[in-house]
Amino acid sequence: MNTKINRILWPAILFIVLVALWALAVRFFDVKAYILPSPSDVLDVFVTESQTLKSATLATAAAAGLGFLISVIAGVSIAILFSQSALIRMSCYPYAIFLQTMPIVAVAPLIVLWFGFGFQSVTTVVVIISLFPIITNATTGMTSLEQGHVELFELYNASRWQLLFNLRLPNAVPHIVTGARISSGLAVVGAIVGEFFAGASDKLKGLGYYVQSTGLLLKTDMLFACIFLSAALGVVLFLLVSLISRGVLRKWTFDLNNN
Amino acid sequence: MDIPSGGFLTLLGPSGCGKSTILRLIAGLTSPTDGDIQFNEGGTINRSFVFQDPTLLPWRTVWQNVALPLALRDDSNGNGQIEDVLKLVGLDSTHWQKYPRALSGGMRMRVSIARALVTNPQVLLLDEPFAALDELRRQQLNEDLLAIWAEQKCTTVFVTHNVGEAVFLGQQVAIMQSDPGQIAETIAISLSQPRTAALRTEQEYTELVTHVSSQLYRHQTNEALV
Repeated sequence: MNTKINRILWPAILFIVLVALWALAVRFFDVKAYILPSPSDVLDVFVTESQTLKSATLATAAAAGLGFLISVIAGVSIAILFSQSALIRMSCYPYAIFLQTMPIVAVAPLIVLWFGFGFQSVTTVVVIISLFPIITNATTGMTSLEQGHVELFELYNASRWQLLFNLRLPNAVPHIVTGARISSGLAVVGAIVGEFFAGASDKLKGLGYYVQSTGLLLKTDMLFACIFLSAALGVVLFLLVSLISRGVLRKWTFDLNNN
Repeated sequence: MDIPSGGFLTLLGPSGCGKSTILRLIAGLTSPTDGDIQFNEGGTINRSFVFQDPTLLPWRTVWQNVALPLALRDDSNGNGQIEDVLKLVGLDSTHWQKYPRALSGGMRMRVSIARALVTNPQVLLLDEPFAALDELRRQQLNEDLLAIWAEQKCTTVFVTHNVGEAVFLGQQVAIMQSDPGQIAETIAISLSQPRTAALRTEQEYTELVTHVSSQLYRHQTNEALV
């Protein structure tokens, strides 16, 4: 119990110290607000622009969440396909890696060109960036089977489908969970990048749009608020996935939450 | 080599002599390079295999693990059969909803045996199933396995490198040698049935263990002993 309190207490103390230093530095060196706004300026923005920030956060959350869900479903489906044939796996795997190494910032304008400005492009960017960890982890889980288990299924002449549903998929669950956790953080990054390029036309403009526009307009206090909310959104999505995975993994031998 | 129907044969030999390979050939897990394996009934025969490791699926409960072969065979034999084999191997209902990680090594092996029995096999094959257990658990499971065999009346082939185990369990002990791996000698064990724990202290048993032990040693080449 003591450690639990300490785990919250010490970071909180550090936070207060850092914010105080920040406030003092701005006042002492007389820094211009468009270079570094004071903490109270940023706090003001949270109040005066609360409606805008709220809808922007929701818009980003929607794109990140939907893209993440599509990634999980598509990633597991692709992994199932990979697990069925070494030939398919060998042929497609280099392109899966290609998908990962492609700088998303370079591809985003192309996606806008193809899908137009708006939510669909933002979600597409999210899917591209968060798909790979799911594919690799799920594929590993579905192909790294214990010899004894495989022979057990052979012994009873299990069909390809029985092997998939009774051995491969359950064996892959802890791996899929790991992949989903990595992807959950990436999904928010993808949504911000997507909105940066494609978010201008939506009725509900996301955080990424405001990051870009307020930066150009030197509304640095608003920029700070958007950055803070983007990071917080990533943490929330990560915690949500962790919470769900804790429930899912209860059945499995090892609990990743202990790491 | 002939294995009589309903009999209990133990395959005894050093590591690497091909004991497990013979078992896997009978199970159909490996294909013979030469020669063939025939069953009295002809055609397919209902075989079950107990691996060296329990090979239980960690995400399935004891009950669900035992139910797996039935599910894979689309056999709706159902709950009655599962209950029967679980009781037969000595697992009462307090354990049925547990996951394998909550069980001791001996209990896991009992679940593994129950899973092998649930399909009512005509041939039961066991590949050093008790090698990883401590001596007391191993002896207890030997006794229980004989009781199960007496009740199920299935032809049983048991691979081991433990002479005492081989003599205690088998109606016949086939001694194997390596380089080349082959059966050197088959010794009939005429100890009366049912065999119980008390047998281990009887002179007839200890004499047989000594005899089988010396024969096993005699059949090995020098390399096999290094």
